[in-house]
Amino acid sequence: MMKKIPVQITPLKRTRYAFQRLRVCRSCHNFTVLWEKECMHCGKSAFIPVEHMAVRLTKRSMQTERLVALFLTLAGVLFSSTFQEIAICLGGGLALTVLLWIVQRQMVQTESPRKLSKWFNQEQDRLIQGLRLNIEAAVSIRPDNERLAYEMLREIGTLVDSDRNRLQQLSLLRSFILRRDMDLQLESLLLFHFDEGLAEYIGEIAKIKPELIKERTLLYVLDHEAEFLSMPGGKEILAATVGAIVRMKRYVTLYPEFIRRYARLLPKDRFLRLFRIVTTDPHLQFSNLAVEVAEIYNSKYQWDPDFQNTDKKLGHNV
Amino acid sequence: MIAYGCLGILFLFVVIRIILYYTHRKRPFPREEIDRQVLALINDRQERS
Repeated sequence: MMKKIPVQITPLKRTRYAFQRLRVCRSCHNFTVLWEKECMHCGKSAFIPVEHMAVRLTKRSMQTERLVALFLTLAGVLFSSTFQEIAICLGGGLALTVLLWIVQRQMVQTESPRKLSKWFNQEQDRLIQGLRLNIEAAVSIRPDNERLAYEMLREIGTLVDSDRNRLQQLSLLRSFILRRDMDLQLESLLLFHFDEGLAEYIGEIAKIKPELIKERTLLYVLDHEAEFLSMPGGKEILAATVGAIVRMKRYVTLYPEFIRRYARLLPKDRFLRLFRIVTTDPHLQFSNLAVEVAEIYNSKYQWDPDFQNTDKKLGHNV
Repeated sequence: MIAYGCLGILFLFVVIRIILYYTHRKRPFPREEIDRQVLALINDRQERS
């Protein structure tokens, strides 16, 4: 059995948009999603957030427009033959340039997202290259510092949708002692195919942080239920998942058959929760789940004082 | 004549730019779209490679 190590994982910094995690080097335009100070490409400490870069590019583009305006003004003045023409061209040109400048000042924040979008299209190759460098850095550091490697892969995973990245994160997580106070992920690690490592991870999360078991995880478990059952300890993982989802009445209403299959394996506190939900919901009272819950109640908990305080409608129906 | 021509071009240039700026302000470019675009750029290239 793999020896697990205790670690302290830095919480993942949340941003409203995934692209806000990107930084770009002012010098070589290399991208990074990690937090290094020096650029891996040129070695300079010149990283700025991409949104700041967009503002710089927007201001530069606006400056170019003003230069074009001044150039046209100058051209007009140079081609003028009379003093009146010079005055009109100079006065008109400067007035139009100032007007343009005033409008541009108000429009920087509006124009920046548009500029950012165009710029990303142009810099696609550098963006991919930067992320590749990040992945290589994470992989190379793994033998020396697994915690850091996991944090790097987790950060990369916020942008890169790759099962390979998820598998690497999962293999690292399996080597850590997981605790409730850790900032753990689950839905972002779900794979397309069944994986025993992921199944074991779901089982652990169901016990220590059941609130992470949500709709997508449930659908993954349902899709691969047969594979879960074929692996050692798979039934226990499914029972733990059921134990996690009975915390929400909504899941009991939506997935009664799945819960019914593993209700017998639930620990007392989880079964009590399920019992309360089933006995108080009129839509569930005559379901197959209710029958199963009644059987379990009658065989195990009929004389349990914790159950006596609960409405016994179900017990009386059997 | 050429001088006034330059002034005319400048006038058109400034007016068109200002109209475009105000049009862009009326229909701001959503950040959600940038997010979708970046994720598509990264992950479509990943799939192809």
